[in-house]
Amino acid sequence: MKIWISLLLSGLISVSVYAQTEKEIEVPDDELAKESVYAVFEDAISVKNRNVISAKRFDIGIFGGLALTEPIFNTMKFGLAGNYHLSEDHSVGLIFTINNSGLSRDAQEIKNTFNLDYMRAPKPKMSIFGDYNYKPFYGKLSITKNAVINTTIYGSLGLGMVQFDHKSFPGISLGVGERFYFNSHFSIKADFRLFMHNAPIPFKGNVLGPSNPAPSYSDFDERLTFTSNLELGLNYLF
Amino acid sequence: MDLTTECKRNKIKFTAVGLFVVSFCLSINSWSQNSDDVEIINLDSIYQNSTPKKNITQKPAEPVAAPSQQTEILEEQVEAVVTQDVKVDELKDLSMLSPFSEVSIIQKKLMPKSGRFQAFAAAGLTTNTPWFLNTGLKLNFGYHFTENFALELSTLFLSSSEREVAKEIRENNNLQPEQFIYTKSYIGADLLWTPIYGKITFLNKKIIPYEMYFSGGAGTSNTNSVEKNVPTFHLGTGQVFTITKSMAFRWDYSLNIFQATALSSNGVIPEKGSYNDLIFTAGVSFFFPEVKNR
Repeated sequence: MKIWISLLLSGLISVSVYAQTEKEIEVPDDELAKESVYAVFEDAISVKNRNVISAKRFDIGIFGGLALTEPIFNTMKFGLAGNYHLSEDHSVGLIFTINNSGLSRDAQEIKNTFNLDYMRAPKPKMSIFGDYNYKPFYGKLSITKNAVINTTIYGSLGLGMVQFDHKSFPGISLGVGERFYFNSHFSIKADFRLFMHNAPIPFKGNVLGPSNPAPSYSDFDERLTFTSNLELGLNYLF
Repeated sequence: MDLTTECKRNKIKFTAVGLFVVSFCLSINSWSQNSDDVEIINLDSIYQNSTPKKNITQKPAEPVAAPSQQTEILEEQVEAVVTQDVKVDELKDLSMLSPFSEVSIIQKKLMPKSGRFQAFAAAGLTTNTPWFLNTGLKLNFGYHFTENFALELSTLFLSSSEREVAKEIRENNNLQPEQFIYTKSYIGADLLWTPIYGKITFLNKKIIPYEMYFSGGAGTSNTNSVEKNVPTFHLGTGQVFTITKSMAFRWDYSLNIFQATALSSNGVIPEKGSYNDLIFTAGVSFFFPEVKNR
């Protein structure tokens, strides 16, 4: 009798085990995958490894620039720039620029030909701007497949003051720029900025000739002035 | 009890014992599977409950250039990672290993150019003319011999309007702003060299392949000078951001250098001088013929 009971129990256990482990699931053919696709992630991350980590770091740099649409005064500028990178996407900084003295090529020709000296007009001396950069683009570049450099493209917004011979004017700057990192510290950068600020109008009649009495700087009228600038700089990130 | 009956009983006993052993083995097998599942779940919980230990030293990646055997294959960026030896004795030690994030990335170029034509249409302006606002249209047509080199026919048509300073110098200083030379149009041919190829990410979410080129060539500029049409040297640079296999956003910054004589002003005839235009354009490039997936 015991044998029969043990036989029955073992049979029941076997059936239950098979029932658990060998379930067949039938899926309709039209619900089966027919092609392979790439996985789409809701929160994709494009760059796992940034070669250059700028977040919570400072950078300082020097730059030279050209005031491309300055008609009268020397178009060359030099300056210092410092930035603190709040994150990989945002940074704030300070830009200090000194204008080269002298006249532009056109104004020098006018002086030579017509004896009109625009150096009598108030000249831009320097400027200081607070600068905010938004850096949505980060990339890696291959140079002829022999080297890889890293780059960021950013937009910039600046608020500051432009100092002329006799007074200072508040200004705004808008621009775009790109940095090329040669290693984790050094980069060169190119910036294109549009400056908007009030400025004296240098084309005052009857005061620029050598026979005219030298005018006072305050005699010159003022108006809103737009100047586009192209700058090239070298920066160090630390 | 006779011998036959005894044999039958023994046979049944052996059969019963055999069946029991078989069912026991199956049960054990089933139990072992279940215990594996439990172990996997436990392993998952290790990863979920504890972040991987930072016992790896990760140096800033020193990228390695890709092999240049095939132009179709683009670049290879190998992120070098140096890890300390992690001794894995038990299953839970796997959590100490580095995640598989530092891997080589080898991808193909999304928009191959070899043997394809490029038509570029863009709007732009001269950025270094203080007296006039010169805006216009640029139309280029080129052929790419390889991924790196192309020949391109370049045209530029500009309209001109006086800026505020031109009116002021005329009204206040009795000078003619027309004495300052500006360009009305340009036509020329360039050799394009594209040594820089890369990928750029937008907000770390979307990857945009792009390349940077340099161009050099010559042509003729139509100006407001005495000579009107003057031979011109052209240098340029720009970037091409791939949108599809056949379309891209492209910007170009060009330097045109020429010699010309300005118009006389107030009876004074100026000397011939060297001038340059810095012209920025941005627009769309179309590449054809179509390419297949590769």
